[in-house]
Amino acid sequence: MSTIDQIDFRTFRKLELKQHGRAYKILNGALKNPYVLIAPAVIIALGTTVFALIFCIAMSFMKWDLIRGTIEFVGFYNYKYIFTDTLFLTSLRNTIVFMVVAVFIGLALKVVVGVFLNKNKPGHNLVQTIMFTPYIIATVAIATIFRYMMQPTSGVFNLILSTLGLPTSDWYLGAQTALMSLAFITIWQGMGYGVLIVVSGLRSIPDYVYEAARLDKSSKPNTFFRITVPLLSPTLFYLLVTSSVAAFTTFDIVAMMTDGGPGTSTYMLAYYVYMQGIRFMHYGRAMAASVVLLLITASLSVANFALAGKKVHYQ
Amino acid sequence: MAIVMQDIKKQYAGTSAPVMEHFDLTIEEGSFTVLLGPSGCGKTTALRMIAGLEEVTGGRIFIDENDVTDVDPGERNIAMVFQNYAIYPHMTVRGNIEFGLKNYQIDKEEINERVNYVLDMTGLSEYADRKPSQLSGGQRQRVALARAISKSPKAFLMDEPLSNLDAKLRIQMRTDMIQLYNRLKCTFIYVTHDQTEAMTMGTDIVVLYKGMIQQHGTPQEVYNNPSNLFVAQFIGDPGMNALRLSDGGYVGFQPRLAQFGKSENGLNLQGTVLTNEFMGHDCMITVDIGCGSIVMRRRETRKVGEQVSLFIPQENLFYFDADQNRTGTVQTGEVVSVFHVDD
Repeated sequence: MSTIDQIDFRTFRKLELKQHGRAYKILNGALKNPYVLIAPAVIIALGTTVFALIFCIAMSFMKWDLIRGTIEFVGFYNYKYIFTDTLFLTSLRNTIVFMVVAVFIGLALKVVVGVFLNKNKPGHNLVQTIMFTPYIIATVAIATIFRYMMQPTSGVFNLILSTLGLPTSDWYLGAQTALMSLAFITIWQGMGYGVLIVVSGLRSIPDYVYEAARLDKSSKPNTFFRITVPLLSPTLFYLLVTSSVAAFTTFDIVAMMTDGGPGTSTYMLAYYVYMQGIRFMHYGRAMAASVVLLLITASLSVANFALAGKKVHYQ
Repeated sequence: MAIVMQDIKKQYAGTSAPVMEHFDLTIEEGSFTVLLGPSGCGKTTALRMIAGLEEVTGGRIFIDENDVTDVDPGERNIAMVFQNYAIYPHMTVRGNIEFGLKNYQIDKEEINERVNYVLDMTGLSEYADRKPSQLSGGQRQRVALARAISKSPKAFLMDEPLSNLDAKLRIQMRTDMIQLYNRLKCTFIYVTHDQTEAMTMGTDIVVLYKGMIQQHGTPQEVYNNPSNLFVAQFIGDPGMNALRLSDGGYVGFQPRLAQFGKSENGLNLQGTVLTNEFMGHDCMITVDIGCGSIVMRRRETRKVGEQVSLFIPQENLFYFDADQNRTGTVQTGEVVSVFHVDD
């Protein structure tokens, strides 16, 4: 138990307010009720999230015509529509592929680089700082940079590949490669942050555990998989949850680089919602798609937590 | 199995002076050797070098006449118990014990047999499937011990294994540890800064200070026949009082052997009682003798502020030369001041 847990806050309050008799009485009455204390936060949270959520769910059952100003109840029509819309189904498929690649390959790379950087050697902190930079650059800027670099005819990527005698790629302009190009950028962008989290996770594993493992004649791979990974699991789990939700709601890089193209090869759910709602003014369909997106991310998190109960070891 | 450290030098990278140099130590097979000293004296470093967790800068280490200086910790046939237990937090008690055995590629049946045996021996059978976070400090310490025993090593290395336990449990674990030693009959090397632990458990005590061995002997030898002033003041509860003499030497005496009153044959002192701490069996009395304060342990008490005369019989006085080494010659100078080695 930490010291902060042992402070009796009631005594604390009494001490501060003792001199001001009336104020003490009024405040003490109100402050005895914990709900009064959390009310401001609750009101803001309810207003911004719960209201929006309810509004969204409600509107997904409506046909909302902004020009005529009519709202009409249409039941599950919007859901029926999106689930028969090939563009929605393509978006769903693209999103899942994108997420699997970006999350799992990304996570594996973060762990590998994190393990490599988890040594107190000169230069490692510098490397880490440099790696972290993409995380603080706006996605707009990143997208612009990569549009130049991934340009098939004049971009630096293909220049390097062809100089090395390797096959070049159409990158974000090729129907086969566009989605993976976006995944690549997403992984690159989140790398520094992920590595930072992994390194801090690795540093929280005490040295003596590794010493005990050495005395237990544990080989390096054995120590990595049976000691490091399990003890790093809370960190990995955190990264898994946050990055999978982020991947599922990816929007900006698509809007910035490909507009869902070429063809529909990079259409993703969040972009679909945007197009339906903002471009085509089909609010009902957009809301229905949002609800589906929400359900998927929510069940993803629930599944993650269920898995975590078995595999994540909090010390 | 004898463990020999030969001309060991240890210097940490980026430091100007070695923490240990020309360090020679032989630990007898089957002994319960305690490395005793204040923090920073090099006792843990010495132990970690024997374990192989710390590299030596120079010198050789032998276990059973085999040069193990460059051998991995896991291949040295030793087991270690750490101060903070160092059990794997994500494994159950059983998993913790099995982990090492699996790495030694012992077959499954024997692993099971050994695990059950040590669980039974340490009284942990009912906790076998618990995680360390569900155990008390004492139980975690038992897990660490069980893990060490399961490997049936030739030597147990223990780095202050009891210091994280509360006072009562520590005394109980002390007894358990002695029983364990009597039962296993193999070499124990035990690091502690607590001289009581050293005296009660060890068959051999190695007193270390500033990276050097001050004395190596049985508890009786170290207590009754300290080789220098540091040992004299470090051993005992409390350690010896020492008085600096005008001729440069020192005279020391054990707190229990100072008596109230006066005597022709002995060292006479006078002073005022500063504190009187009741210890149960006796009292710890601090007396201000003008040039500092000394400590006595007596059954009779004196009031705080009372003027007292006290003497130490001649046969109970220990003399030390100007270099603080023990000497047989009686030093005759006047008492100049009260002295503490760590001052």
